[in-house]
Amino acid sequence: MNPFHDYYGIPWYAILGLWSLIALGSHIYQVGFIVKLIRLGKDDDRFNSWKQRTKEFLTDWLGQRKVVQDKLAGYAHALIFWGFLMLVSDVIDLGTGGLFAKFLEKIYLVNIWNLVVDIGYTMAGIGIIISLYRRLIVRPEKLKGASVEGVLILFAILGIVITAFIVEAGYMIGDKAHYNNWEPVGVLFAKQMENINIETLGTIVDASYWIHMILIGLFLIEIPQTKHSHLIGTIPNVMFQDHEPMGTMLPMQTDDNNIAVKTDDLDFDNLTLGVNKFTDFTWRQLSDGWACTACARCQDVCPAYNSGKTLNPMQIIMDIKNYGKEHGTSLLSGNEPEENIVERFTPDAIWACTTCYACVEACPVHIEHVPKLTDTRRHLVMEASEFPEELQSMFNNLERNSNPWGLGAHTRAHWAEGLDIKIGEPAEYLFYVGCAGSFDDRNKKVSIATAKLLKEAGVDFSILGEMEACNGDPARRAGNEFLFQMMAEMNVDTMNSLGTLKVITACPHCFHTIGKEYEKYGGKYEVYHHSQILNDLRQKEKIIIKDFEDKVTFHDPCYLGRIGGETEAPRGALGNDLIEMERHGTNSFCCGGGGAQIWMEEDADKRVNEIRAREASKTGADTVAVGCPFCMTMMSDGLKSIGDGKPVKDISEILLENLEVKT
Amino acid sequence: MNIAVLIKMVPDTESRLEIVDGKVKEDGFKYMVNPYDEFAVEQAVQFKEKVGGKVTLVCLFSDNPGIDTDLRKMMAIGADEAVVLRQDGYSGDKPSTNSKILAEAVKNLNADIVIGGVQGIDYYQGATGPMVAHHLNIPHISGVTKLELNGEKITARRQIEGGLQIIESELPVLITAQKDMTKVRFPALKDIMMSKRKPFENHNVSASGENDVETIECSLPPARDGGLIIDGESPEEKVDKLLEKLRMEAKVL
Amino acid sequence: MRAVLVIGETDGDEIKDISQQVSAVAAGMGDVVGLVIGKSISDAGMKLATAKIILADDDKLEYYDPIKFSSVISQVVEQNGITKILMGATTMGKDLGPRVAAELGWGYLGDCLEAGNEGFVRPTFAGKVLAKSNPEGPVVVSIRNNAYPAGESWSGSVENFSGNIPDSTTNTISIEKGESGTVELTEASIVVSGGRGLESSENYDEHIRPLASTLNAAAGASRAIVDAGWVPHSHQVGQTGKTVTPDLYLAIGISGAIQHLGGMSGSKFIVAINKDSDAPIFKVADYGIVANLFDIIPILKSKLSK
Repeated sequence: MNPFHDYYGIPWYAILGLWSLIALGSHIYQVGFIVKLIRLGKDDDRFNSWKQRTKEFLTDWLGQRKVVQDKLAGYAHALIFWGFLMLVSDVIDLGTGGLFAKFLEKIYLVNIWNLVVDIGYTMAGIGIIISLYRRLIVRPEKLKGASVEGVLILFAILGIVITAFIVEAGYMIGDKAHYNNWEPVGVLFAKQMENINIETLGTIVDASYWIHMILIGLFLIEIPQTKHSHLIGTIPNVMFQDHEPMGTMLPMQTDDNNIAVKTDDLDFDNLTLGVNKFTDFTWRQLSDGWACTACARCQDVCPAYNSGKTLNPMQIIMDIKNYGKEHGTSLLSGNEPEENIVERFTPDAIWACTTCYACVEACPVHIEHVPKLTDTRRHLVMEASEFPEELQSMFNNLERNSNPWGLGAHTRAHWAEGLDIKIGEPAEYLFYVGCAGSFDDRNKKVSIATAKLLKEAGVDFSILGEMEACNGDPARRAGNEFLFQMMAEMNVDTMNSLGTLKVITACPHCFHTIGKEYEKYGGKYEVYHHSQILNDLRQKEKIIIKDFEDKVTFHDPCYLGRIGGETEAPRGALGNDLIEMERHGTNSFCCGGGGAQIWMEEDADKRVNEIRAREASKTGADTVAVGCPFCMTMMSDGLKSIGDGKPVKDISEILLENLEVKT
Repeated sequence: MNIAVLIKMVPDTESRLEIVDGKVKEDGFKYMVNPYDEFAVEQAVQFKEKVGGKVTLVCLFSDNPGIDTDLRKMMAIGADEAVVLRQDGYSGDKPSTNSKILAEAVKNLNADIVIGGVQGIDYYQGATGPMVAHHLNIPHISGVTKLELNGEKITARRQIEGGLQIIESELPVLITAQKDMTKVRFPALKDIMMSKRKPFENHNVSASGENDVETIECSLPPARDGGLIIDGESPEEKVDKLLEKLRMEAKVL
Repeated sequence: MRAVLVIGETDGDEIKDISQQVSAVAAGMGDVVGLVIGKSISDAGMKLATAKIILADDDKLEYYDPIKFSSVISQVVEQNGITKILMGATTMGKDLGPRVAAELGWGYLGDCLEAGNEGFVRPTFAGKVLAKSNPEGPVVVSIRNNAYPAGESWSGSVENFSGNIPDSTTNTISIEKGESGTVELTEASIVVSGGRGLESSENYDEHIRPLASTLNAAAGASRAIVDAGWVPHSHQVGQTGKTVTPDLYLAIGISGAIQHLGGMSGSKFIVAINKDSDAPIFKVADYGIVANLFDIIPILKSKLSK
């Protein structure tokens, strides 16, 4: 039996037609609205590298690559998603009263189609049950306080699955009176239902059909409004994911060759500096709002959120979507809403970000949280002049004395006195010392250790001495792109005039900025983090390191591990016999110093560095190894605050301590 | 209301100091706006924003062109015009000469208030302000920590030992600003670039009047070996030695 | 006649110590005339350690006013054939000196560390360079406190000023005394600062505040103890706190992390007291004591109180 008959004289297709019109109409209208909103955003040409993009689309969207990083929720979702793809064509058949199946029969596909659909519904059903189990029984921490909407939606989908099988079973029992083995689950249902009274069965099948179609219609209406917008949003989001190296910020203006326009040539009348209005974002930054599934993985890994700050990366993305919904009509008619997006995010949240990129790394649908915050910082610093006071002296110091502490620029190379290091001369490698390594007492020791190891191995290197200036990272992450550009142009000039090709640095921020961002300012160099060089030297036995007894745990710097893509070299350099913290490698938890945070006051109850210090303490290691001057400061302070007197040492210091000097 | 702001360009304190032939070597210096003068600019702009009018920056310096960016920043705070007086043979240590030149330029501005920083961080004389006031034949109040404008009068809080002297004055008057007189705004970078369009005149001037005292020799103070760890058998002995050093050598007690 | 004029200042019933120091210097430079200006300053003014004393005691001169005071001095200079004027480098001296110099068309040398017949020495570039001069012509000079020992007051001739006192368009409404015991951090010439080495907030109150009070200094703190809640943020010295440039900075129990240094490295003299000889603060301190601060501070305080 089937539901395709008249109801009180009205043909079934008339009722369905009306409902479809309403549901589809609403859906198309809403999607259209969202698409128009997104198109208000600025250009971002990602319509290139089609081969790579197709491959990524297949692995990431179809293959659910990042989704399954969380095993329980991830595989449950993958089942639902793949199941959905397999079953979705069933609605065509149900909507055409079985004509679709008849058509498939003619082209010999109907059997395989039936099987695929059945498996699809089953997979989805299993996925739902696992999800309900997780949501109602396991009840993980991050779901506490979640609204009942999630559970309702899960039950609704389950309803769609079950009603589909009931209708399928009804077909077999009634009209055909034979069980189709190509629909095995349908057969299971049919066997349970076959003894039901024919009239009752008819009612059950009818009811199931209409519940099924009504639920689908409701979904169509609901999808654009809730987190289910990700059904649509993830497609452009994954397809057009970011191909720039992770963590790179873009210049204010680039020319046709993708090189930054020089400061003097910038057209300030027509340049928007950063983001203040919703429409200042690019279309791709806006589409993030509708790709978000509210999975809260970004929230889970965010150091700011986890230390009680107002910043919540998921909220930022929701803010985009909510703002779009609330002010959409105004925006589309060309009017500026009174509230701008910076106010919606709130400056407190904007300034709390450490730019560690854990959120971007964790996101299964390639949402880019950090650039939204650094872009709004640009507006706050360069246009509105509203930013934390502490940054003002840092900016002034960079400008005047080319280091963020404002110490005498002519004392930069004092750490190298007596070490017989080449200064300002060409050499195979340029050891770019960085400001912390030049001026901060604790970190000068790291520079000395690194220099001594390089010398021991016979590496030919020189330093810039007084000609070195801060690479500009603190200015850039804090939003002062103007100042950053000045410093970048100046440094590139200096390094190019020396014929620099290869650079070694002990600071991951220098490693990142010079290695990946200076290219757009005319500086293309091979940049190595000192752990990479030291690892190489150790493996090649150019430096011999004795085995040491201390148990060491290594804190991966965000800008080396996750953003820099290098997690092996530090471990190789240290000898690979390390105790790992729970969150290590690309999952490392930020020390809290990046994103110009080390220059700002932190006044929440839980400090980021204390959270990480506790994690380090728990390992029971004797020493905490770091590879970054910020981490050095933050971890030392953090451990002291929690009363743990463990020493914090740089990789180079540990190696130097245990160096077997060649006789 | 017309306000004239006196700006002095001073060497950056972190610049390397070298003495050659009894004279300080100035070619390596980077110059910046005297920090005390920034308070003056900000205060002037605040008054302008309150009652309307014009703020003109007046700066006397050598023909060194490297000061334009810093002056633009002051303009970007909200000044309307900059008058830069270029003098061959300018020296920051000649308040008598400099004040006469500045007063000449300020005379043409019909200023109701003339305001500058209390002292320059190069020579710490605090002399130029009061001398300009004399040449303009107007009263002056120096070392002001708070300034209020009430119609045609100002009320100034002047820092003195152990407290404040509250002074009321009619206009015109010359004021020199003490540290933290007001909070200096950080001009929007866009404003700094836009300030390229504001009027910025360079005038050549020459020295007149030689009342300034010549410095015959510059020298470095006896080397403080940064980090003299005081020895002693007992805490008492160490404290005694410390106090002696502070009294006799450093002369800060 | 080479006559030197000393401008003396009073403080209540007494003549200021700095004025006596200036008088002692003047004594070696020629015939000395002392001048004290104010209202009801005669009793105190007569204690000025100069051979001759002129008292300009008048209601109109109750509060310091540059135009009035400058005019009085000019008249005294003319009547007494003065060729040099010396005064203490007080807030009045540093304001009045230049105005007088301009009015008389004389040279001006402010805040001298050395003064005498061989010439004058001023600190310049935040004390990093000493500038020496030996002017031949008439000059107005202000001399720094404690550069010289004080002269003894003795009885000499006293004259009352009888010249003209001009009017002024400025007038002082009142004097506000500062809160007793609390000196503003950024204005203080001495700062006593405490850090984690103090171990508890009670110790901060017990050791730092009294020491600061004895020295009439401001009390400061490192970020660590502000974060720990021992003192309010207004006390914080450092990159994210206040930048201070006192003549003397006492860093007690402070290790000297770079963020702290950024706030006080401009101090003229830095003294560090810390039990850790490796503490970075010793690299920037002019004088350091490596010892337990709890042993040192009580002795320091008691010796300074005398």
